[in-house]
Amino acid sequence: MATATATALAIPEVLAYILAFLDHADIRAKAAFVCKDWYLLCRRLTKAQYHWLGKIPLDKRHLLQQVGSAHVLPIISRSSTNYYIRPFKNASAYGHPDWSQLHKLLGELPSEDQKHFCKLVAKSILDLQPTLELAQRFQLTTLRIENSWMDTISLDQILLACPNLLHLDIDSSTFGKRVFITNTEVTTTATKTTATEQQHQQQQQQQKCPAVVESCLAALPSLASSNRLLPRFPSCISSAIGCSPSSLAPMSAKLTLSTPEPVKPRASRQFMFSAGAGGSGATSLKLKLKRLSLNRVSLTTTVLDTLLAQCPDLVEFRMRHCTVVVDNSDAHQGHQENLENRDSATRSMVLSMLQKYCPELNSIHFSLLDSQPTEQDQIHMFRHLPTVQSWSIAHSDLLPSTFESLRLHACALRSLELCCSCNSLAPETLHRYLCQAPRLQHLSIDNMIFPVEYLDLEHLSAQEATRSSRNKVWACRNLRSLQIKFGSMTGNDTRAPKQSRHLFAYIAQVCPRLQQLHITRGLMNVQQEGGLCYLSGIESLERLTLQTTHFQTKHISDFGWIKAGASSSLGPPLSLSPFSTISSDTSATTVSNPGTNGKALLRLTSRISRARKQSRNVFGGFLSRVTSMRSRSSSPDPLLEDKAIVKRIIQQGSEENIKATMDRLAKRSGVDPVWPRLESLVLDAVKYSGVSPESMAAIVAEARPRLVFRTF
Amino acid sequence: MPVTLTSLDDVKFTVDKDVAERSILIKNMIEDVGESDSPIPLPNVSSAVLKKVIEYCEHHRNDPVQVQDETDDPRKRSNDIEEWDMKFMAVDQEMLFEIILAANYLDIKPLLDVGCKTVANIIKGKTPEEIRKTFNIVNDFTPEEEAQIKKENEWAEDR
Repeated sequence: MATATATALAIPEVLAYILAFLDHADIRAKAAFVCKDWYLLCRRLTKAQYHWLGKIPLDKRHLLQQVGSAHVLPIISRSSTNYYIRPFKNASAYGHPDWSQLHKLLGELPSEDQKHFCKLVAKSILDLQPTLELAQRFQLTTLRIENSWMDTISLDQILLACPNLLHLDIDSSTFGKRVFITNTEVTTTATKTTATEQQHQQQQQQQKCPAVVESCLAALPSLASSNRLLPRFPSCISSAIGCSPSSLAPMSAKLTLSTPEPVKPRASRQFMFSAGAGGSGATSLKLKLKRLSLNRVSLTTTVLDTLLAQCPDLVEFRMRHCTVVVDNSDAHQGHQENLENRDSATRSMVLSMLQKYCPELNSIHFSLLDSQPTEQDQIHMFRHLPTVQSWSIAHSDLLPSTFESLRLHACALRSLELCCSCNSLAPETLHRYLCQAPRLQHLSIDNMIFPVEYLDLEHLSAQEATRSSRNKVWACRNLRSLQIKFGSMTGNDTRAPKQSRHLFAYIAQVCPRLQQLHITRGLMNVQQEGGLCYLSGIESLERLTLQTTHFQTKHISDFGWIKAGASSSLGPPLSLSPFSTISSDTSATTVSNPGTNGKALLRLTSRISRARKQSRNVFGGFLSRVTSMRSRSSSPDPLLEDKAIVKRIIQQGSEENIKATMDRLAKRSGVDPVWPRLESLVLDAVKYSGVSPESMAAIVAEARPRLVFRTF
Repeated sequence: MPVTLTSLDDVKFTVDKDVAERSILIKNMIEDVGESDSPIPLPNVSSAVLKKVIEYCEHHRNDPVQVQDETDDPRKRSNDIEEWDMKFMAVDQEMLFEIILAANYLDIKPLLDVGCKTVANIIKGKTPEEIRKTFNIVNDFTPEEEAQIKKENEWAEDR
């Protein structure tokens, strides 16, 4: 039976009435964090402040910490138990009193401090103009436009207003809308359109351009009045009002807005970049952009070419589920015969641009909407950008050949992200790839269920394990971060202790240098016999997240091993500094093993040094581990190493081995803490059985008071 | 003229009309039905709570009718609980919320005010976790959501 407290607090009117008696600080800092219902009511109570959020302390001393960005946020709403953000469509962002208030408060800052206002996140705005006005006043380096309700966003205007921009992010994915960039404008439509329709829209957009130019001209007084903009971009302004490129003043500023010459019936109406690389003959601006992210937008090749030509310092390029319209039909006439050829040509053009203009590019995601690359496309992509170390691939772009192509052609690959929507492609190809990817350091897989059966090596006989371990064990020993979702290929209950032991043993043995581990699993067995304690072997772990629907334990003691090594006097995480705790006899080893093994060895030896100081009789265990690590670090043959790992994984599959592991952990008490560098432990589960999350929290709090521990 | 009120557990309370009419609900009922000897049923209010409500109404029977001012900021009035009201509200938490529910149901705004102010004073100075514990509320935020709110608050202006 519901209590009066619960009943009363469940009535929004009553709760809102109570919260209305709190001051704003309490509402935002305390009440809003209680639960989602409270948060939603709190937002309503303070909504006037949340049209823009910008802490503008007039105290100069707080400025550096607190003025760095302003967020323009929507009013939020909520459906059932889902929490999401939705804009208030009928509100007019521009002209809202809060904008003027923001301008006023920013204006009150000392001028030398205004430069620290450099980041702006504009969400669900209806008009870009207030954002641009802010951008003109301050040296913005980061601009994110998210879920815009605007019909058009002019990139020209953004780049003109933010010449120092380092990060530009336009993301309209949340509401399932399509966003089009035609020429230099982003247009939002609610329906999917074909390429023909896009061209039609492009024509329509071009016909609107006089109005756009007009609006730009209308904005000129404000541009001219800006102390910052005018001296820097006289050419921009002069060209915007219709001067031909040849009449541009020889100034350092090179971004130009112009009507291309010669004037063609359609082109004359285009409002576009005119950069040298774009072929218009105008000088090009070298933007400082380091990161460009476009999500679900459509743009023409000319716009992209012009933009990229001006971004020689681009390091990260993310174009996710975008549409690129080839607007130079003459140059690509031969590729218009069918969709596939056209898409391949488009991909090729974009890659050529990246290769040509962005020598510093190191991280890329490039996926086209409703278009899957061919095997040749992908090989071409990996070959075209051989120095890129971080590849992000949409699941929809995964082909049976993708991973093999990655292995053969993406030689510099260190970080792999598989993202976006689900794909029915069997993860077996990924598993095979991981068995042959020794250089991989970061792996993140969203929405792909990786079968735990692939990690079960017990069925292999010793001979088989020796012979075929190369195809059974991941080769990525240097993996630093792993985010993965496990499931069962056969639909078996993934809570089975044996299966669970295999999983944790596999990860601990195969990826011993993980710093961040995020495992998602439908049902998670963390009973003692489930083998979670094997993860204690990953000594470098800094963040561990276990996410599941059902977190199953028998007793709180199942989780008690986390206390191993902890003591109330435990200071900061054990230092890895080679200069502080290491003894002289281990320095040489460290120098001779500068790799990660050497670091791990260093950590162990530093503990030995401490243990000696503490006169504890625990050297035997440590020394054996050091010896083991030395032998591992000096092992020249990966095949031998694989065989040893397979052997250990199979051993750890047995329940008896759990007891031995627990005994070892118990011996470490007070000397050698589990996960000495762990900063965050998150258990995210819908249901807990066997033990309450509060009990777990109590255990962790007792053992590791400084650890960020979260349960949900 | 006395008015008889019947509680949820069928306990009858006889009070003066002007006391009963501190409740807008009862006042409207009397106006709609006309003067009658029939008891007025209050099926949402238990006798223990109704007794407290009547005690409050009797104490405040001569107070002027509160005119609601839409522009009035409740934050300006959050700490102005009268001494008698403060003692009146010195009850356990369940009773406090019972009184709030009754005040809400009976439409006795001054009582609702004082009840909500009392709860607001309980909330003040507490951390979110302490608030959850006090009111037995489950934290249903994910870490990402909580981080997002913190990010929002980071730039919120204190007024």
